[in-house]
Amino acid sequence: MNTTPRVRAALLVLFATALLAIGLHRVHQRHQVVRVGYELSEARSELRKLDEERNRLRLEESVLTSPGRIERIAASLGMVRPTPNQLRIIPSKNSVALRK
Amino acid sequence: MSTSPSNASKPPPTRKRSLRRTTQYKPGVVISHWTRIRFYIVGCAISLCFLGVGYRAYGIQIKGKDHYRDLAERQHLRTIEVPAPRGNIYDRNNVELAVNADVDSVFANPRAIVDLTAASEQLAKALDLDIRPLESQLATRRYFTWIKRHITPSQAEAIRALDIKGVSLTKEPRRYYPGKKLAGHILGFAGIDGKGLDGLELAMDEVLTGEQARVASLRDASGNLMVDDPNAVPHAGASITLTIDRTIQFAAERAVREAVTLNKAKSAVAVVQDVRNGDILAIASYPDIDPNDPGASAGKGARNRAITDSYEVGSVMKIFSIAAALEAGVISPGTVIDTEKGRYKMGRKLYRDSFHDEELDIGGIVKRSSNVGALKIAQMLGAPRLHKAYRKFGFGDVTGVELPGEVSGVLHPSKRWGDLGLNSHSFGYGMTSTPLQVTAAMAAIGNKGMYFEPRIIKEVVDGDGHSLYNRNPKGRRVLSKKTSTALFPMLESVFEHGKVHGTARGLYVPGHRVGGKTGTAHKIDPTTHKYGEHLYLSSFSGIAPIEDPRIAVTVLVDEPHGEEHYGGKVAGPAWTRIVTETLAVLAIPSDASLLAAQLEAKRKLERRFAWRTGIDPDKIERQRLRNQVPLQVTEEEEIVPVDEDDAPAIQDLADEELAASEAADPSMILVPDFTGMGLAKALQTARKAGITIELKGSGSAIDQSPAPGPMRNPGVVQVRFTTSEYAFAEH
Repeated sequence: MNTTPRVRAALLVLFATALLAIGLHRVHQRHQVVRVGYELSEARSELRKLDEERNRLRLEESVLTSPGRIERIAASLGMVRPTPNQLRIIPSKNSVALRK
Repeated sequence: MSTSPSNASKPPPTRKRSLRRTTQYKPGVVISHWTRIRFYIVGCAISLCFLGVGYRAYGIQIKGKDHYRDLAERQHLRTIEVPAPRGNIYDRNNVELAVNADVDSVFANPRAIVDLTAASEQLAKALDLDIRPLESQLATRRYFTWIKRHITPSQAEAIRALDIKGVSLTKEPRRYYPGKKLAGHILGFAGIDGKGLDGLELAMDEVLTGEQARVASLRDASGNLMVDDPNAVPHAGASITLTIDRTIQFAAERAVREAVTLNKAKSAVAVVQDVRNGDILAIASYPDIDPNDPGASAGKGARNRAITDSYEVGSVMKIFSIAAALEAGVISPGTVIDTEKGRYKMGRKLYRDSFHDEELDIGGIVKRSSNVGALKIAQMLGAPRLHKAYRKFGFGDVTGVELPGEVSGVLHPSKRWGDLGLNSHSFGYGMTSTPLQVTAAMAAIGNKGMYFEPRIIKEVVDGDGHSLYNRNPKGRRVLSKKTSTALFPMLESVFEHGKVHGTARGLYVPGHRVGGKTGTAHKIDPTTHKYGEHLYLSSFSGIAPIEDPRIAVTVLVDEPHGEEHYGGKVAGPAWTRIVTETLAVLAIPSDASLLAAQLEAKRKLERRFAWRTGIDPDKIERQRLRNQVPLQVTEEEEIVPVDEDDAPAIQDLADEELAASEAADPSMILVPDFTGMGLAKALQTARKAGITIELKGSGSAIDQSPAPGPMRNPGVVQVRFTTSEYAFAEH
């Protein structure tokens, strides 16, 4: 196939442009991967921190609601243990589950 | 090379000479000889350079590729070990009993430390460490060494502020037990590296331990993570939900602690079990253990005695031997046994009862805890059938509870019982059983003859939320419904008042009808290897409420050295207290009319008590109402992952020294130790000592202020008695 020098030059320019476009796309992709990688790492770090915070709060809740502590505070407030005829049983989810 | 023909014949001499030194490549282009040489030189130089680059490239890319790849990976890739959190342990209502929280740990790179002496001094001061071992630790040529693990937040803050080169902080998971001593024996504890070392932490270590993830991540020039593997996530350990109820466990632990204090006992155990499915609601054992600081309890005999220790429980076993005889049909509830006025000689052995009843029906034998009656029934039944029945009740074998260190107790084959072995086995001697076995057997009676193996694990859920184990209890029949329900009124009669009263007279559970059996056994003295005269094991086991039993509870108090040693007086009050609180937690309504009758019976007993001792009951009542603040306050400290304030023990020492010096002073008054005394005894002791006391509550003295010891002006000594209004056993 005979091609004129003008066509040959045009093809060369087209080829070079395509090559450049592919290269730029590749670089962009690479950049995106790196950026998302940073985001992922940060998100993971955040997740770990939140997990840690949740564990700490649950621990604190468990400490604050411990029967010994409640009784100690009740005693310091001058509260007394109710007699059995002072107890009124209000059905709750837990008590119903236990009674079944 | 061509020239024009006209110039070829006569070339100019200068031109000819220059032709020797030049080369004409093209017409009109002439390259001189020196230029050509320079070309060659430059060409060679460039070629050499390329050769050099090629050789180096070969060396890096081909010959030394493994070495350089390794170096590059080390620089860019970072393998992160993501620790898997250990599974939590919850009670039956999903309240945390064992959890993880991240805390700071300090490590150092000794090679990077610039000023060793200064760094050691600063670290030792901030972390409260000895400077010498720290210095030698930092003087090594290692790259990593732990300085102190699991430090407090304020210590971490101090380390951050110091900013010592080569010293860093890292987060490490730490196991916390928020209830402190609560269920300490059951939970056990995990070591600093999160490995289970005792209790459930040890028994279930494999499922509690998660799977650590190793993630290879890229890092940039600053060391920041660029990308990591999203699929490489650690698998958290499985979480365990127990059958334990935190509130019931707390009530049981408090009851056994008080039982030990009041009765000056060596130890005490309590087990609470749901009769309908074998779920263990509480196991309390004293001396207790704080899993947050297991070292502090070392050597104090803290262990889960409900499963690790087996005892000759004594009379509690009578209910099982009688159940076996009823089931075999050798007796009926109406059968009357000649109890020989409580004295019966068989061979050379004399058997005695606490009472002198001439004859008793089967209920009477249970109520009065007659040894003579029990052994006569056992004689009718025979050793093989009694042995078989005991085995069916689970004695002589482990229950299979999911806790480490369970013992089976001793139940020899009936052939080895000997001539009198049948008698002793009928009332709980010659064999040993664990408190858990006794509770499970009592629960079988309460569950109308169906025995459920006691279990403490309700559910195991893995880190992804999938259930790995869900308790599906299966029972086996050990007694007919008829036999077991026939035992209910017998067990209830143990609490009866009157002339022919039961062995637990004076005890009651407010607003509830309950049944139980007392036990007072002699213990073998380890020095003489004979039954000790003053060594007892006091026990109480029973079911509640008796009309439709929900729980079986057993309390054992080992070696009480107080005023009392009978099961009804020593273990009984703790039993009633545990039952009262458990029934309230389980929301089982009380009977108001029954409560009124119980209070009336109590007042009657108190009036009799007052008539006997000369103490005005109204005065006691007035004083009780005036001082009605008798909640039992535990001395436990809270545990939170914050600074521990170690109160100086120096103060205690100073107080002791002061007390010792003042003891010799004749103007001092010795405040007596009222602990364990009843009201009458306390008043009498106070009168003798010449001091005034103020009574709070009723029952047995549990606490006093000021503490016993010499004192110049003690003023009015406040003595706190058990709040247990439902434990008014006579003293």
